[in-house]
Amino acid sequence: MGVELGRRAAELSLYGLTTPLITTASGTKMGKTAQGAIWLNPDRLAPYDYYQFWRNTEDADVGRFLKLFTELSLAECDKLGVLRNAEVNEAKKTLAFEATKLCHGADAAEMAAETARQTFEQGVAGAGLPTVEVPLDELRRGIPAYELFKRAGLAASNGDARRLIQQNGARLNDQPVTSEARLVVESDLGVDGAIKLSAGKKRHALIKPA
Amino acid sequence: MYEPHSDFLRVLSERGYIHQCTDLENLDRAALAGRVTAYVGYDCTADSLHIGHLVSIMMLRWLQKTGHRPIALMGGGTTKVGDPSGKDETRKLLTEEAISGNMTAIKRTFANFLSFGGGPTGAVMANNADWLDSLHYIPLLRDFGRHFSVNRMLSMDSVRLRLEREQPLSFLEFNYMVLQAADGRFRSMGQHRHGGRTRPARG
Repeated sequence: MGVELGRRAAELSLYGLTTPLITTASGTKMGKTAQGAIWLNPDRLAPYDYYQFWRNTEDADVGRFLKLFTELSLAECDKLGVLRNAEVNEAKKTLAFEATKLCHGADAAEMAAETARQTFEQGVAGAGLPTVEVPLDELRRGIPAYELFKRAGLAASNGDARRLIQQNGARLNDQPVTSEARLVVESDLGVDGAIKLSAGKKRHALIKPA
Repeated sequence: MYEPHSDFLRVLSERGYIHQCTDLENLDRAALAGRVTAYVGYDCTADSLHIGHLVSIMMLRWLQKTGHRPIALMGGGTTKVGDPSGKDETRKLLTEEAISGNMTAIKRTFANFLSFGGGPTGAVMANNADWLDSLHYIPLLRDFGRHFSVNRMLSMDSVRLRLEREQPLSFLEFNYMVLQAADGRFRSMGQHRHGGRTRPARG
């Protein structure tokens, strides 16, 4: 309407340009998350949470979002956009870092990336942790926590595993396991496709479905 | 599809920012021939923009990077009316203080994406209240317009018959009944009337 008004009322030459509505690969409107809107003002949404929003981009959206929301070269965006499996996580980190840098500055982006690294990576997936495979259908039925700790090699026996849990020394995906009978199920699998078990502060193992 | 030659439109096209353009070829020519100025308007209904605004913010950033002047246009005036798009119900009208507080908060975001340092490509932040207010139109809309139902206005003979006959009806004419009805609200009319109630005659 504005272009037309400019022409009719003021003899101005105006041009109108519209942007596409950005949807995700799974078909939802981008930015509609369970936590609410993804705000750009740091008082509304901390830079770390902004970073995590981008870090959780769907695999198939990475290349397109790099082009729209960072200033990396097209060649770089295309190269990162085709990565899959474990490698795609590096591309998502680049996307998260670059997007956060534009919105909140380089310092805030570096801090967010470092916090994410400490939270999710120290001693976790990919860092050569002992990995134990369990059949997926067993995980679907549910495996008692104490049994899984024994199978992961973090306890010598079932009794040892029960004691570990009773003494609050057992954690599952970095959350304390409060009941030895807690069933570990498929939905405990993280974004990396594994469940992280910890006994004390230093001993960790990964459970992966087979 | 037309392949743009100017840096600005080429970047926008390659990176996926363009949905539609009213005249891509001539805009491309203008961007090649010299500096263009472009604005994007942002509502001031909240104290922060969100990710849905980011594509257009990035577009303004590329505009500046390719040698043109971006304007972030704050809807300080239009927010006083409220955009009905995508809403089932009328928005609550914001006070002028709330709108100006929101605008201040939103400025922080633009300061990160655009360079406001002056010069020929320096970004500008404008506020449409600066020109809309002087029309004195918004008070009319807020004081009277909010009480008019467009649904009912469309059912009035004066409007309905034109629409049914598919004859043009300008927005100017559409406003006639608003101004006519507003007559009854002005006490100054009492100074000129001779008896009776201050109620406009019909017809």
